[in-house]
Amino acid sequence: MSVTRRDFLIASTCVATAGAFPVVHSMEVDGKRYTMVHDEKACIGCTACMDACREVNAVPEGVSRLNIIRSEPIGTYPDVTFQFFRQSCQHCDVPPCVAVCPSGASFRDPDTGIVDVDPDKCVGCQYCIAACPYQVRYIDPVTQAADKCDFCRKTNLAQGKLPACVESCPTNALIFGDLNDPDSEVSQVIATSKTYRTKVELGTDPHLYRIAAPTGGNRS
Amino acid sequence: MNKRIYFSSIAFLATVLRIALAVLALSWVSSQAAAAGQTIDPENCIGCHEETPVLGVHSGALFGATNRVATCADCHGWVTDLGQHETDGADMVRFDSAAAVLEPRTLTPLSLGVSTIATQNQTCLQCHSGKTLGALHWTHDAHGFELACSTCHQLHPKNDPVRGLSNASTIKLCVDCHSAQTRNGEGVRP
Repeated sequence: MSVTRRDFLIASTCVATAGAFPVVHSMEVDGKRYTMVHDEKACIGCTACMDACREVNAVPEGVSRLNIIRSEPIGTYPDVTFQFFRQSCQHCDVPPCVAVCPSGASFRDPDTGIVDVDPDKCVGCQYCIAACPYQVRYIDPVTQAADKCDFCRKTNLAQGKLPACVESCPTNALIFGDLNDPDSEVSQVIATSKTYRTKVELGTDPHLYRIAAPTGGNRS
Repeated sequence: MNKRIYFSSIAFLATVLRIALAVLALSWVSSQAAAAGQTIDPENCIGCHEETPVLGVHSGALFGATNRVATCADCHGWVTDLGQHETDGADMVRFDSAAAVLEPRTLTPLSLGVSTIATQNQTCLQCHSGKTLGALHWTHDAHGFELACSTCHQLHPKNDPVRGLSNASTIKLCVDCHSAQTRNGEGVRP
């Protein structure tokens, strides 16, 4: 079979493109699609979630799966508000960290939609850390494997409980559940509240939704 | 008479006269103060309130407005009517967390004899600026309206219970109060 120079170039471009963007569609999930909502209006920035996460998942000091980032004070004393932003894994439907992992350590659990890491398969190349647009991955100083929030998949969820952060929140600012179940609280909240997600323009389809707090003057 | 002795006698007489005038003026001022009801020297408060000496960091602290050691009256106000004061003490600024616990929305104390959050905090803000407090801990900013300083701080005991709290204990404090709010169906902010 003869291949013209033109056909060869077209074919090789297609292959190169597919190689550069290996995941361009959402992975299929058959069972649950675990999703979280962070209600920034209800959050008080106490960081009880951060402590609970560290304790339940035995996260070593110096690294963290979850951070609550507090804004600068908005307003003048005594009329001051803050904004709180949850920084943790977004459990993307199109996770770049899984796409770049050369050893198959980063994976997406088809039963829950949770993006997780198998520490035994991780070679510590840190491609995932570089690829994650949300900058939520780190190398665990004990296991030397990449790690991040797994919605407590191996701890609380395995024991039939809610993720540690959700359990510990004193103001119910974290809502967790199955987005594939239209009757779940998380589905209801997303359906009825104005939510936003970050960096959706990258096509990652993140599954951490947020309810924005007003930017101040909420006492009027 | 020697001229020098003559002048020194004059000076002596003048001094005596000045002292006498000063004493007269002082007694007049104190009688005026008595008329205004401000007869209770803060030094005397402890005569009745012997159970509440200030032992914390405010003991011996300078009060900015007077540049002398703070007295009871600087924070709690002057007694204007001793009779009433002895009956109910309603004329004083009373620092009590009940103000915050009972009425976070209306800023009106539901507990009898407890000053409003605004009244309590205004006393503290005479010396402590909101800006400085915010820099010390962000929760000062977050609770400017909702809490009295006395909800967390105590100045009379030797140790202020919230000073030197560990991070875990601080978080527990947040969680305890805000869990109760959530249970009671109250919003985070009034």
